[in-house]
Amino acid sequence: MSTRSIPGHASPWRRAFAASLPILAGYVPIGMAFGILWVQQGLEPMGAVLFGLLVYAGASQFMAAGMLAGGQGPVEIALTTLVLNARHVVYGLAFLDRFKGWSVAKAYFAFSLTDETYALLAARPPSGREEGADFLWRVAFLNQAYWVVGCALGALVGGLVPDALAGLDFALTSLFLVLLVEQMRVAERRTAALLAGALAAAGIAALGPANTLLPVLAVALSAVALVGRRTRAW
Amino acid sequence: MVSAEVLLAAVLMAGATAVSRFLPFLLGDIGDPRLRRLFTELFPPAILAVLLVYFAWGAGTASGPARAAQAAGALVTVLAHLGLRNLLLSVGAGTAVCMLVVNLWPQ
Repeated sequence: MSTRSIPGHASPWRRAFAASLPILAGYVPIGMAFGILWVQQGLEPMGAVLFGLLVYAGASQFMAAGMLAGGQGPVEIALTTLVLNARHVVYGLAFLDRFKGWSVAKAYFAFSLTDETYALLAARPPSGREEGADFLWRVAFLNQAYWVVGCALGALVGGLVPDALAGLDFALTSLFLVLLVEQMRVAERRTAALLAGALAAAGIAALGPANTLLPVLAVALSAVALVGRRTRAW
Repeated sequence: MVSAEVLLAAVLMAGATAVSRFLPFLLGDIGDPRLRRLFTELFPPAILAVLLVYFAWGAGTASGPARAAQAAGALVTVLAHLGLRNLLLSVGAGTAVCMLVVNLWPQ
């Protein structure tokens, strides 16, 4: 992920905006894809904006649009969200030492720590000037603003565009792929990803996709921990 | 406005998402640096890989053209990203190719 060099003395908002540009470019179209998908499932346009503001989790929002349209209940959807977002449990660890005590900024940063915000901020070079809380929450805030704008735009135009937009929801899969490619530049992470992916494929092939995400995830992570331990990766 | 069901789903999902995002800030650091390494280095790529496989499979009910379109989109995404390493371009190009193939496929 590219981060251009910004003078350290520039205002926090300016530096945060410059750093957030890759996410602006990604979140507006993907948010739009969500908004369009949402209204094309027959759901109220305002709901897309509400989800962008309150839930702010791309993969879960796409999933919820399908599940709501398919008549599944809110509790079921929330449980699937819990599984889907369990990966976020590790993200905060990278930023623990940047915040002193609890503040609104820290609470907001925790709330808004998405895959992409994590990938962007955790990838910033730790050498030299380490960015503090002032910078982090502003980047997170701008990213959510882009996302909500995308959701709203999608909800607005979703009713006007024809079904020719089939395939737009691939943006999410594509985003996952890019994040994975970024992770796989490091050999140890590549091994972990390949092992987990192979086990997931085998598990889902054997058991079918219904209700298998959690057990498959548990088996894959256990295997990664075991193999990683033997190869002294951790 | 939105229906009560959508509102309830949004609130419950927000809670479920917040649980996972707040947990590390609430519990603090994992004392053992080795364990921290496992959680921050090895688990994130593994989880992403599992989710990717799961979602790709979720499209298993999709038609042949949709599958071909997704495969083409995935290939373009990865190649674009390996070559240019620009998030927007990779996602944009991959999605555009997927949409083109699925919409232009002869019926």
